[in-house]
Amino acid sequence: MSRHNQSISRGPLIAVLLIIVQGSCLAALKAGDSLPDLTSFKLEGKLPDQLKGQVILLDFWASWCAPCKSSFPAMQELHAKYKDKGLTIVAVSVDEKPENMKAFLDAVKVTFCVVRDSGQKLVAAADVPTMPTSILIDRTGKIRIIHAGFDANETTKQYVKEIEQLLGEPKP
Amino acid sequence: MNREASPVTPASRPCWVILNRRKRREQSQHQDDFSALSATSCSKHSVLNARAGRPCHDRRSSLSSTTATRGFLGMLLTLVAFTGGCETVKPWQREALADPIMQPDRNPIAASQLEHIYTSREAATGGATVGGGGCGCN
Repeated sequence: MSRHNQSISRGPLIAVLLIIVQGSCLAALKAGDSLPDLTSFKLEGKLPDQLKGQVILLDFWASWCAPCKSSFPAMQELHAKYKDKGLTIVAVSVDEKPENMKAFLDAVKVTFCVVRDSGQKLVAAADVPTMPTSILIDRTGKIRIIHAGFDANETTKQYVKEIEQLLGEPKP
Repeated sequence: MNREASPVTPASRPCWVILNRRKRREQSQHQDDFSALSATSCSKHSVLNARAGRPCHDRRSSLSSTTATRGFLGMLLTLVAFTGGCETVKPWQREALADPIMQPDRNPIAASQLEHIYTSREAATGGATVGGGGCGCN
């Protein structure tokens, strides 16, 4: 093959490689990945002191998202039922205006941890497919299940089943 | 005025004659420059071509190769620039879009009635929701 033809065939190849590299830089969290260090994302609010060895339900929500808001009573029930057995719920708000989040939390009292991803860095790193998205993390810190969306009856049943299974696994 | 018949002296040459000569002289100069360039940069075989007034093939191919490479680099940069700019609104960025002010119809009941009438009149199901069959009776 002549040098001229080589340069012709190499151009599109490099372009495709660059596009792949661009895409891979924004890879979403998926089952099997390790949970990134939440403290590195500068979340507003206080994270639980102890996350290691806990089953974590990381929920991405927003006050402008109706299904997200409807998931809060179910998550409060889960928190009340399983917190002593080792479940920690971390609800990450992606609201751009903190007053919107505060107004909702004033109306719906919850006792689990709620933080705000003010820079939307954690949610961008997770690259959630929809709102809400909740991620279940096992005691070893591995992402096990990702729930996209919330259906009041169906998703709650799944949560209970999956959380009980993860809580039943031995501690690391 | 008949150009063929008229005597042309240097002082009375028309301007088109002067321009044609100048053009021919410039073309000849350009050919000499090209031959000299080829002779200094091409192989022995190509020098013969250059002396014979034929351009050096090696040089021509390298020039076209450079042009092709530049073209593909341009295409590549354009492609990367445009694909980098293809951004969709992510689910967590839809706060402004979820604002009620972004709804075209504020009243859901009125919107539903209008949709029903529209789909009946158009004799087709609506683009937004499931409508009637078009008979106007449902």
